[in-house]
Amino acid sequence: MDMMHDSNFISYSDCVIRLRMSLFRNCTGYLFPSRMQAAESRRFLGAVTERMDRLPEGEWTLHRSEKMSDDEFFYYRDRGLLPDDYGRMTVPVFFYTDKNGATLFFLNREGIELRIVSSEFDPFRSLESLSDIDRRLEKIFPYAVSLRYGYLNSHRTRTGAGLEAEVLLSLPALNQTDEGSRLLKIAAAENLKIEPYICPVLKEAVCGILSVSTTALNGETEEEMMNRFSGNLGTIVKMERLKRRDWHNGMTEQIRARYRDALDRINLSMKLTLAESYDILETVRMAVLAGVADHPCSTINWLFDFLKESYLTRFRNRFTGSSEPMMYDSLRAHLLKDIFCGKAEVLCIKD
Amino acid sequence: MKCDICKKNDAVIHIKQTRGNQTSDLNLCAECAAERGIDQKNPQLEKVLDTIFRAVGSMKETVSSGEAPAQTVYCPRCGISLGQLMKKETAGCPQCYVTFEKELNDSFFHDKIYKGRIPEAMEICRIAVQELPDLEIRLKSAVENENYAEAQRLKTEIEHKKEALRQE
Repeated sequence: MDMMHDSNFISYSDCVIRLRMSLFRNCTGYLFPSRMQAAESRRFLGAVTERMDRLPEGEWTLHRSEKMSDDEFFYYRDRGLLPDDYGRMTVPVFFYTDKNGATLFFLNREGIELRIVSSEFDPFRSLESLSDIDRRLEKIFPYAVSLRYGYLNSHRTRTGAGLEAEVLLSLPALNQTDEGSRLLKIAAAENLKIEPYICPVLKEAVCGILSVSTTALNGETEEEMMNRFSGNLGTIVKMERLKRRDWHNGMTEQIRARYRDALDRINLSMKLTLAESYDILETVRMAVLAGVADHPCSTINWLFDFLKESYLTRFRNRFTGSSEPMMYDSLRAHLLKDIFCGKAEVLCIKD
Repeated sequence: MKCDICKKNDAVIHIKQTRGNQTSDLNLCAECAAERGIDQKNPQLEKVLDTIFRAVGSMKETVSSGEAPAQTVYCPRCGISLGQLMKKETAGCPQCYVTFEKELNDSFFHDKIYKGRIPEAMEICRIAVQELPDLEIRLKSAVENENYAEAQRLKTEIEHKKEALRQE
């Protein structure tokens, strides 16, 4: 199977907010996490942490999640580098590598999960990074592998390649039409899971954002899965782009009006909650996609994460120059005003 | 006395469980006991022991009756039953894939062989166990069908694989 690389890379930044990919592994000599008793979990964690020391110094940073502040810990969770339900007290350690922007954490769905997050939809590049790390990890971890089944994991859908991919998509045009059933048909036929994205901060669905995920089928190789996944994503993005053409038939004025309202809201607001900010961002995205406003979609995608409190705290010095407690809602209003209203060359309404 | 689990090493730990008026014995070697978290300081010790007693008990029943009762087979390593595994579609440990091989294959895997990436150290096993026998079957079939070009290609591929094995 061909590895579609740079030459075939197509930017989906008008639809894709974030791509996450995970590799699941377990080790021989240990039960799977769902059957582990506390003593065995401790023994497992001790062993993996000790083995990580065998890797070159500085490659991975050990984080003791139980000792981290909420903001520090949530920074990793909000970036999608840790699962929303990660038990930071029960599993007190995880590793992070700056080099690939990947995390390695333990005893969640499987014994070991290696996760990488990217703001671009280039699954083959992400797979290459994951495989590169995995090749180094397999020298220190005695992975449970069978020649017949592949990597042995607790759930049958993760057994084999042990690979999972999830993409967050913004599909404003499809959302406005009754295309849900077509999407579900694609999902059913292609082993995709499509569901509304639940923001871990808001703990509710974010308007118009969908999570599309898949795991390798039985016997399927990593490359075959990636080809299937990117092919299906391509179909969904094509459907969305086709629907956007309908906007020119009378929708443009409505979108322009909504966009003006959003700008007014930014200009007049002293405070914006995360939910309100997301609402504004999606309106701006629609305006950009309809050709009513100019702005890189990558910035809107970037703001999707950056407006979360854990990010704002992490970069507090850039905004306030101090470590005083932050007023997140004011900061969001200030930031959006600066980006969308303050700099006419960055974003403007096209006549 | 041999260990009830691995059946190889001498048992060094002997545990007796009494439930109502039924008593069961469990004999374990040091290695199997440690692997299963049998430690007097373990607050979950009772649970751990119960799981092992159930698993070993079912192994003994199976041996004595000579047949496997469909819903009472347990994985000797983690103690999960076939019923639990099928209900949750979740295995308890790598050993489950051996213990319940037939049931997993019939229900989920349907004779599909994984062909993706595996650890480099295992690649050589894959060549010897899977790829060479498969290539030899295809070579035989090509010769029988008088497809000599394909047979020549397969023969060269077999030579390359064997060379790789020799180098290892």
